Amino acid sequence: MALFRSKLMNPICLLMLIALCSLHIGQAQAIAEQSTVDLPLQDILDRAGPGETIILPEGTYEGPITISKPLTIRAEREGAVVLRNNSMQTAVTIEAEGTILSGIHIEDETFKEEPTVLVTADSVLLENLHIRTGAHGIAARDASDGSVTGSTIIWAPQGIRMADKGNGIDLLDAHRWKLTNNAIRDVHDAIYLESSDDGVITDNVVESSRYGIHTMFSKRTVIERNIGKMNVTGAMVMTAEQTSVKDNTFVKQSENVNSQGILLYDAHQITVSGNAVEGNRVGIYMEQSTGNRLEGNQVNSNFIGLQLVDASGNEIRANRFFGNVTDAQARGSEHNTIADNYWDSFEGIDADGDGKSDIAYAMNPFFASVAQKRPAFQLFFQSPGMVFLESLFQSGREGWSMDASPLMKPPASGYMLEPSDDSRTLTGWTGLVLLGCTSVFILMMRRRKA
Amino acid sequence: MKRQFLMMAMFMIIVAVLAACGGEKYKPQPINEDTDKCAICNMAIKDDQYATQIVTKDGQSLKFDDLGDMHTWMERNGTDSIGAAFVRDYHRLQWIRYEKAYYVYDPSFYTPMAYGVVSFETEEDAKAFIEQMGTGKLMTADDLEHHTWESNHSHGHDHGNGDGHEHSHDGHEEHGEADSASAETHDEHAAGGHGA
Repeated sequence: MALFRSKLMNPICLLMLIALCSLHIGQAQAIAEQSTVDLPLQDILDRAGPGETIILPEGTYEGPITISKPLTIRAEREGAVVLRNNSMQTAVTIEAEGTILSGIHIEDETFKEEPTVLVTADSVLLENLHIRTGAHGIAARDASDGSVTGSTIIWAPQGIRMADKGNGIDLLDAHRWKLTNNAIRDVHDAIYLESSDDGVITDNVVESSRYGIHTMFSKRTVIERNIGKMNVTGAMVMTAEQTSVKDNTFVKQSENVNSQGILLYDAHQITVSGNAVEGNRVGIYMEQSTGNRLEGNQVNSNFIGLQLVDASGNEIRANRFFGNVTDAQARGSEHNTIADNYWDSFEGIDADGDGKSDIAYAMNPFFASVAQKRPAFQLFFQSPGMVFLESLFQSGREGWSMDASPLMKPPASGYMLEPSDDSRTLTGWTGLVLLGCTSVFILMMRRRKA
Repeated sequence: MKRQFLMMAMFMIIVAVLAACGGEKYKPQPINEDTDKCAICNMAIKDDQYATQIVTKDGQSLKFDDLGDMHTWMERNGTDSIGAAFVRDYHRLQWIRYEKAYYVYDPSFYTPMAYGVVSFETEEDAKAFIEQMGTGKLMTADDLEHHTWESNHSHGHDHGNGDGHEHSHDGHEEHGEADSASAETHDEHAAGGHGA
């Protein structure tokens, strides 16, 4: 206390005090100076030793930076630290294993080739970043075991065609990445994995991009509980094995002529289950794919619910198809096990009372074949003449894709669109109260007049 | 006799002109990035050097994002219905007939579906490309018939870095294309310019 009371406190005392404080906070921590505004961040990094934690005080810093030794870089207060990069280079290059970057806003808005964040080392953790990019948001090359969590990636430059934009998160030869709780929009592919195995993509929101989640040549990817809106395609799984696509929601992928909720191409041993696929051009599209399981999905209000092209040996079971213009279309797809689905456009007959129709639901390949031969004929989608012609076309019926035991009623389990009993009761009571209010109001008004 | 010769010559010219017209019968369509998708893999097609196209005899245009996918189509559907097939010159992007182009293959070359075959209008350009990349096998359309088409995406395959391979591996952000193309002009082969 005497120290503080003394008016003659000399600079050495002050320095000692600072040193004491630093020690108190911990040896591994270096406090960057307060006067770092507009100081190139690289200088601060260069002064830190490997393994140190750098807490960046509030302010705007200048990029680009390269992290070439393992560091933990955090913002003093989340959102208060901005890293601005006006160069054509990568804003943040991470070359050191185990680097942690957290809570920083990165503004890298120049339209360019080099990604905003480039990771070339293993086990890098990127969390709570807010990135505005004019290239790939985060790119990982030959770097595994990293993670991106709680981050936002948004495309910045205006007036760029979608085909020229960069991806939100772009992994190449990068295995076992965890991408969780991120929000990505207005980019090319929100999340793109190429030749990257065992990726875990969960709880992300991907919207207004080309493909929401796009995997190519990647095995055992887990895609769960993501939400995709207004993309050309929600999830595009191509040349893949053993991927799991579960409990995702893909809505309104309908703005492009080639839109769909979930697309599987050359995909094998994939599980697609418990997804809600709503309001898309095509709900679930599967081509050249075998050994996949489509189970318990809610496919509603799409133009085409399920489209199969040259897909065989798949199992399609217990899905609910509601309110689609056409529930299912299939061409060249034989030897699939299709059973126990609910097709609301189908009128079955259940003579033995087992809840399943005794007549099969067959997918007429007529329109799909016509549209393939003459794409312009898609204009006649569900036109009366086409429906009539389709009904006349019955040849080779035994080879059609068909559900041998379609359900008479939608299955109860899993995701349901119908509101629960609780919310129904609540709605009822609210209505009653409102009605009461109105009645009282009307009665009072009448009395006053009288 | 002379008259007969003249008639003969006229006939020859007419045949030649007709033949030339025949060549013009199938015209490649430009790529529309908003709506065109690969007839095989369903991916959106970028208007770049990897796009290929088949115009069928009844005038339908089928587009592909990679030469390998066009080959897959030919395998599945045969070549009888094909009016003309087109590929693009790697540097200048003009459409060229599939049969007349020169091809360079190497598993390390980036193409959208990783088949690793790129196309050139002239043999010199193709050879210069091989020289520049330090690797690659020169092929003609006939050679491609016997090519084992493989999508080279196995692990450890390095299509991002090194050996002057500076065009983006993703193929969809070619906005740096002008730069990378000019980087390639160190060789005289591209003297024709990209202004075209």
